[in-house]
Amino acid sequence: MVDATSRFDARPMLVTETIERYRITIIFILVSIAALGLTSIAVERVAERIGEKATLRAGTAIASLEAGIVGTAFSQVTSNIGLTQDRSSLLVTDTIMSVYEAGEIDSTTAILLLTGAGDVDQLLSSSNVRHMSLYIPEFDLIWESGEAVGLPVGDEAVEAIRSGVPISTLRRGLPLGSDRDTVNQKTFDAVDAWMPLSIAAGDSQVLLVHIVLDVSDILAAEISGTQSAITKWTLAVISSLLAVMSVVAFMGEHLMSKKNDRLIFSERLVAKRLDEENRKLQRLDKAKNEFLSSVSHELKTPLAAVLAFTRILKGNKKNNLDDSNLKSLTPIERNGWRLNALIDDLLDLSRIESKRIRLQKEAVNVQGMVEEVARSFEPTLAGRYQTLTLNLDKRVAWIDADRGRMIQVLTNIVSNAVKYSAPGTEIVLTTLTSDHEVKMSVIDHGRGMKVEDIEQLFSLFFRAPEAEQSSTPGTGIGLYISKKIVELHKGEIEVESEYGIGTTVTVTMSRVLGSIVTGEKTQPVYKSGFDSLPGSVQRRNAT
Amino acid sequence: MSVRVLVVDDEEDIRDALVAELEGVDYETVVLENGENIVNTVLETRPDVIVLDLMMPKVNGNEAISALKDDPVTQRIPVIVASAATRSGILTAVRELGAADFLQKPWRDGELVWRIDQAIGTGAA
Repeated sequence: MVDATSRFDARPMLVTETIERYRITIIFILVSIAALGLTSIAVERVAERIGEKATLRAGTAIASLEAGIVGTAFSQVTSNIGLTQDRSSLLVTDTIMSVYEAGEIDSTTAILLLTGAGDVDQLLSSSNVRHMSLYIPEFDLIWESGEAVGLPVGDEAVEAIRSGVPISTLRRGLPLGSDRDTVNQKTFDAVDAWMPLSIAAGDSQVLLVHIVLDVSDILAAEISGTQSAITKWTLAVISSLLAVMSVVAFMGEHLMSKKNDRLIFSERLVAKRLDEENRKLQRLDKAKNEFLSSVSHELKTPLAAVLAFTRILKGNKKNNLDDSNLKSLTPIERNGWRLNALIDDLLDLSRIESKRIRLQKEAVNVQGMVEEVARSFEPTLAGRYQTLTLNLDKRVAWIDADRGRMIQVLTNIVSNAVKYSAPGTEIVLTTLTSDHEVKMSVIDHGRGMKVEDIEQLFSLFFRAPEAEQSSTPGTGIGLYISKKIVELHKGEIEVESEYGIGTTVTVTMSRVLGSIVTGEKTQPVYKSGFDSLPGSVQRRNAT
Repeated sequence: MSVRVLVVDDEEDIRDALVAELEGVDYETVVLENGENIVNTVLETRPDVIVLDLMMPKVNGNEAISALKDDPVTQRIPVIVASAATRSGILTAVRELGAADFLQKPWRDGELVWRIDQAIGTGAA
């Protein structure tokens, strides 16, 4: 016996086979790679949002700080110069100078103001504030510094004034510089903050500071920081999980495929063993059949001698046997033939069971065959004072059948009718020809059968309990063989019986087409030598 | 003129039974224990018919028929194969061998003589 694994390991595995074998793992890995790509994109997006939020927070804080400084500076200016809300006077350096030159402020105040404005300018240049502007209520611009970013007063400004809290928005990709038409326009990211400021002037005057803070660096740093933090860990964890799952899938599939290999091999092994067993059984069956043939030959040879010598004795050529001696020879002969029939039955059984029975089909004349069967029963009928009445259909029927086998079937059925009917009774053998089939029925007025016995009638070795009790000879093989033979001819055998009344067994066979011969006259009447005596075969014309 | 039958069978009792039955109808008999020397015996004794067993030691029935069929004189004598073998289609098989008929052992009353008479009728034709 070849070892399962060694045989399979020795075989080189093809690429297609490998793909087939590990297809789940391969699909899983491909899906994992795709999932990893999508996850990485998603993580980047998430990191960007987080970075943007952090930048906005930080930018707003810075903007608040800047606005505070500006507010403070201008508060000082307004308080120092003692001016109220003269819009035109509250402007940058030139304005301060013109006010000073007009003599509206003294030199100390002018210096102070210039210092404040200078501080703002300096603040703007040193910080990331790209643009700063100052509005007084009704959104009148009173001062601006830095680049023109094109972010006019809008909803945010209104909302900041209304709510009194800073409103800031992160704006990405704002154009940098004044040259906005070039293709290679540089951009920057900004926090666009609108900051309401209460000026400490004793009243509730509110200033609105608009600051556009360049947060490009902060945003880039925040995003990259968040990304590196999230991406690194998320992707590491997910990749590890997918890798582990891929390995698990591979191992599972590998084990499954190995198991499958073993299963396939054991299936082959089982098939091979079954095949061997089958061949062994066939050999045994052949041996059994040969043995049976041989045994039957060996049994029949001495039986032939016994029967031949019994007949010679019965012939009583020398007239030296008395009646008593001669009478004793009858059961010897009868039982010899029984033994012979039994051997035949056993052989037939063996052939049927091993499906070795071969039909030698020919066109068989049904009426002729039935008459031959009836004639063979003459001696038996005479011994039992029974009458066998032939009731044959005028329409001659031919069937395609093994004549010997069909005679065997009819003989068996008639023999049963004879055996199970009382002496002196009549048995009727009829044929009924219709267009496509012919029915051969054996009707007796014997003891009949109970329903439960009828059901088992064609079972092998079945014998009605009453037949057993009354010691009627039989083996329970004959009807089983008869049924099988009829079935081999694609015919039907059926039985009707009424307990205490009698039994009818009918064999139905297909007629050979094109052979319908309608006799105008009835066939010659067959008369047996016992015609007028009990125990005879009578012919009655079909009506 | 009486009918002369050559009986070939290895079983002594069967030979005796066949002989007794044939002598009962006044047929002459010649016996052989197997197919050995069958052609010479036939040529010497000139039987009208041969009743031949199949399964015999030394030279069996099949070989005996072949030998008989090889000789221009013996090939015309009808052979009835007598056997206890019950193989289906045996009648066809023995006919193909060249036998005139087949007698199934055990045989029925009168069957032996009937078949011999039939064979001689056939053989003479």
